[in-house]
Amino acid sequence: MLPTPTSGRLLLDTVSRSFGALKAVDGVSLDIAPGEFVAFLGPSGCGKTTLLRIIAGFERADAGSLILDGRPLTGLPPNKRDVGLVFQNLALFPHLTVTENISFGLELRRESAPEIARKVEEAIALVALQGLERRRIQQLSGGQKQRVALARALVLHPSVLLLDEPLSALDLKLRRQLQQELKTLQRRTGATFVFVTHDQEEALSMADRVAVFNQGRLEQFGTPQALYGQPASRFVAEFVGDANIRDAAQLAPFGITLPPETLLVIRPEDCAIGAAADAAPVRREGTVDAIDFIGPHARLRLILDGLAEPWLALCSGSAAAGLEVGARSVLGFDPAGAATLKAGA
Amino acid sequence: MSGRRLLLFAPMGLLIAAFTLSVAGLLWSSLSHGGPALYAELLMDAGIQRVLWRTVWIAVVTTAISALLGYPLALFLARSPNRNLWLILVISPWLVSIVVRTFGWMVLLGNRGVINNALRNWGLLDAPIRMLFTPTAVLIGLVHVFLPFMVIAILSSLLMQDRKLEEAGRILGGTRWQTFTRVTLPLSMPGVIGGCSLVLLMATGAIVTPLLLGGLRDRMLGTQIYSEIFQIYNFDRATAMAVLLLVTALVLVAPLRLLEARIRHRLEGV
Ligand SMILES: Nc1ncnc2c1ncn2[C@@H]1O[C@H](COP(=O)(O)OP(=O)(O)OP(=O)(O)O)[C@@H](O)[C@H]1O
Ligand SMILES: [Mg+2]
Repeated sequence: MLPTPTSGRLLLDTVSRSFGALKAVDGVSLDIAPGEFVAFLGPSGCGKTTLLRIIAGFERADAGSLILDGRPLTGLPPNKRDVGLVFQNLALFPHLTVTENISFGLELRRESAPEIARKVEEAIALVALQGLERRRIQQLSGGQKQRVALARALVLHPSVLLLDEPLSALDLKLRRQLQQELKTLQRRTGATFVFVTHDQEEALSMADRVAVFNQGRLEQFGTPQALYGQPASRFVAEFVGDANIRDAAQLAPFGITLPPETLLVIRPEDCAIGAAADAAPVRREGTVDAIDFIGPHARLRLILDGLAEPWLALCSGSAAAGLEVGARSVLGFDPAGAATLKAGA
Repeated sequence: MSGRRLLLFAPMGLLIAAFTLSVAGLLWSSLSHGGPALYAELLMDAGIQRVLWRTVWIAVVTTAISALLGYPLALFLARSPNRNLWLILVISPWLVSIVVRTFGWMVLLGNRGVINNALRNWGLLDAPIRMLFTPTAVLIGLVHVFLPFMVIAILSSLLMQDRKLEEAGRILGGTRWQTFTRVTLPLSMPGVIGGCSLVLLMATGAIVTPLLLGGLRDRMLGTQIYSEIFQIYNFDRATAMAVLLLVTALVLVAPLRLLEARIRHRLEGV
């Protein structure tokens, strides 16, 4: 049976933080449910780390409030917050062994020696580090260090665990593996996870809900499906996956009429190519400008006749068979299935 | 080693060679002139024993006080946004000759010095307290001279530390003090031990400060050698004492070096 999470509800209310004239975090409000896996997603410098550090208590908020399980966090030092943090560079203690790193927090709580030993053993099993207990930190691989950092934070059972790009330093394969492990760990422990990343694929595949940030502001907070299907702004539509974003004038040649000040978001995978386009409600001929075969898929860029903006399409490799740069083809899509955006949003 | 690398090593090599030669010469001359008998006589001399003991305890206490005063100072510097400004203040004594600085302490500590005069003027004292020409005066003077070395040694090791490690200590439930004792302090130990070795070595061989502030009664080995050469003209005895000084310094510092090597090995891995 998985534990039903009862603690770890984190409420942020219009939290702001400026560095001089720069608004690093700008009026962010979030309601994170107990046991939820939330990803903070955004380009470099958008304030993700700053927000995380405000939650952890290392940075003060200029305005706004934070409440964890009904307890206001304002004024509480980091050691009194019941919040865990896995640092971007891990920050493992180089003067301690694996076991000593993991038991660090338990010893500060003055738990009994057998209790500490039991919990440490449990944590080591949880992250599959058996056999490395007595190693020094410098004698570990990147992935092993990662696990020590996780175990060190998880052994204290914090209500909320913050993770600042914990996988960014790892190679792709290990990264995928640890993403899975993290997800499993989160379910097993029932803790609320807040995971910072600037990799949208990572955010969409791991999180229950994703918060997208841009220049300190929260652009959208929703499930990966919602973010992808109903982006709240042009920024989200472009940052989360590829998109053809078109206004009324650009869609007129297709015979589509859009209300003014509205944009249509057509995902490349919703565009049909060649014979498949015959069934699409709207279509237009054009020339292949670029083509990329990625595994079973083909990514195409087409210049449609009479239209300046190139179109992106993603189709199966077989549908693109025989196409090459300069070849003629047809692109079609269903405007009814496309998301709309307010221009300027 | 290629020829070019050898060339880079040459100035250092020359220094090392000159130093080794002079120490070997020292040993040779003391053994050839006086022989073991000279050393035996030296070690049996109650006066020399007292000087040796005084040298050891003054050097050790100077080192301890410098470390105790230097650590907070280095920590303050490491955390201060105006570090470079403060650093100039800390090392400013180096701009003044050690003789001048020591004279400064004589002016302050003397029987008719600034401190005694002030205390008497305020009616706090009837007779002056004897401060100058006491071991206390020597300690004050030595700490003043060597403190900057200690501060810089500790500072450099504090600055190498990743500040995130302290934050990790805090988020894992540590108070500021717990984080300091369990993270900051152990990680800065190489700097502390390095500073202690340096100060211990310099304090053991100090001449000017004990000469001016300790006077003729409270001699240290350095001053004893000095007067043996310039007042008594007994070069053989001075040479033997110099060897004694060298051995004393090595015996004092060797454990520290071993400790530092072990700690560095632990911190930096294999
Ligand atoms: N202590 C500070 N003083 C001044 N400016 C700061 C400070 N900390 C962060 N900033 C600025 O605030 C902005 C947000 O920084 P932050 O580190 O939160 O970004 P981030 O989203 O975590 O970026 P990345 O993905 O590169 O880690 C940046 O422009 C950064 O330069
Ligand atoms: Mg960051």
